Amino acid sequence: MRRSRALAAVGLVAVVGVIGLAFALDPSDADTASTPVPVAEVPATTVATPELPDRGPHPDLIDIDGWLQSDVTSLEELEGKVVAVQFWTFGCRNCTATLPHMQELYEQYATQGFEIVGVHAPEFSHEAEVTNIEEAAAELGVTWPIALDPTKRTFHSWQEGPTAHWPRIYLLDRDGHIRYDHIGEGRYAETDAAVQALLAEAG
Amino acid sequence: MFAAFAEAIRTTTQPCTLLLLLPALVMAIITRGRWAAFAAMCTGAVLGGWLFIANVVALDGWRLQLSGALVVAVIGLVLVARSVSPLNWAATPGVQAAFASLVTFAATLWWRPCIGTELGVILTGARAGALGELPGITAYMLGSMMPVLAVVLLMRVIDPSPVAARRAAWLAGVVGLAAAVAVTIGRHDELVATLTRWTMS
Repeated sequence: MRRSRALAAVGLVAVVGVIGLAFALDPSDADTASTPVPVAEVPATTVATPELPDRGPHPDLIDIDGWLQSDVTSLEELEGKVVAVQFWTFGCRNCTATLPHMQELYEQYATQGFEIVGVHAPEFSHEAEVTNIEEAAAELGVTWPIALDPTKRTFHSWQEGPTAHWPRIYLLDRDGHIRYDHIGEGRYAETDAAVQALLAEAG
Repeated sequence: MFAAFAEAIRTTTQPCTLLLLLPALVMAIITRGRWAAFAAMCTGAVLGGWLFIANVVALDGWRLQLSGALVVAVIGLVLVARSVSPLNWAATPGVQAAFASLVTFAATLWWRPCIGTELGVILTGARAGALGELPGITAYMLGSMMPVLAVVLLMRVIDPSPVAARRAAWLAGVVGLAAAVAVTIGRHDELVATLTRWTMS
């Protein structure tokens, strides 16, 4: 009995150690929110350009309840540009972790025909308040157009299957066709490479 | 694989995974035969996780409420079976392991995962075929179950007296029942929102 408890104690220390190690090895310090990889410093040779199959024209934006920080009111007005459509909500940690990288992309490529549209799809009721979204956007450094999707109809209609996810980014080519998408944080260098490739296609 | 395992561990302190963990933690405290229960819970979590990434069934609405009712029924039965002899069958380790698996599977419907880098890769890959992502989601779900393993080991180390074990079981059971009732009556979103506000403030 005593031996069994001693073994359990050793096991407990090991499990706590593994949990501690997982937190200690958190790659987000180097890869995401606090210190994103500057786009300009991503060597072109480090990440191969991902495959960019043509998945056809993007779906419509449905029941958009207004735009913030934008003169445009539809994706059609952005045809001719490479557009990143990102589904996000300011209360989602993983969404906000991607924003510094989105800011880097925006600063780097906006003058080359690149645009970002953040489709804000709230998870909870307080995230649907426009004033809260405006405050969060200012605080988080979101300077690109935001389409408000309070009913989440666009959020669900763009994503296949019954469950949709935050964050999710789609890249549209200059013809408005979906060429790349990624769920969750990360893959920043791959996204950069995809943007560069799409800009180069018709550039 | 380890990256997915580690990422899952890091999410266990966040509300998105806390609600998945809560019923499993409760079962780890109230069941007898904790090792069998833990193995069964891992199986339930992996199956539920895979169903999530397969994205073929809506995991909200009536299914969510039904999962809450199921957790209420099982936790209630396990608690009552500790002291009501006609229900002794429900207190056997084999039956309780099956219950633990069922509860954890049901609780995967409560899960609103934080989609970090590794889970994002798994979800993105699952669009091409969820079966191919089974190893990744298995590692991820096992990572999320590490706190449950810690509780199982802790209970073994403490080896509480029967009276203390009964008190701990009822305390944990009441917390689990409260969460499950909230889900059953359609308050899941409020539960997640409240946990989110607490952890973000």
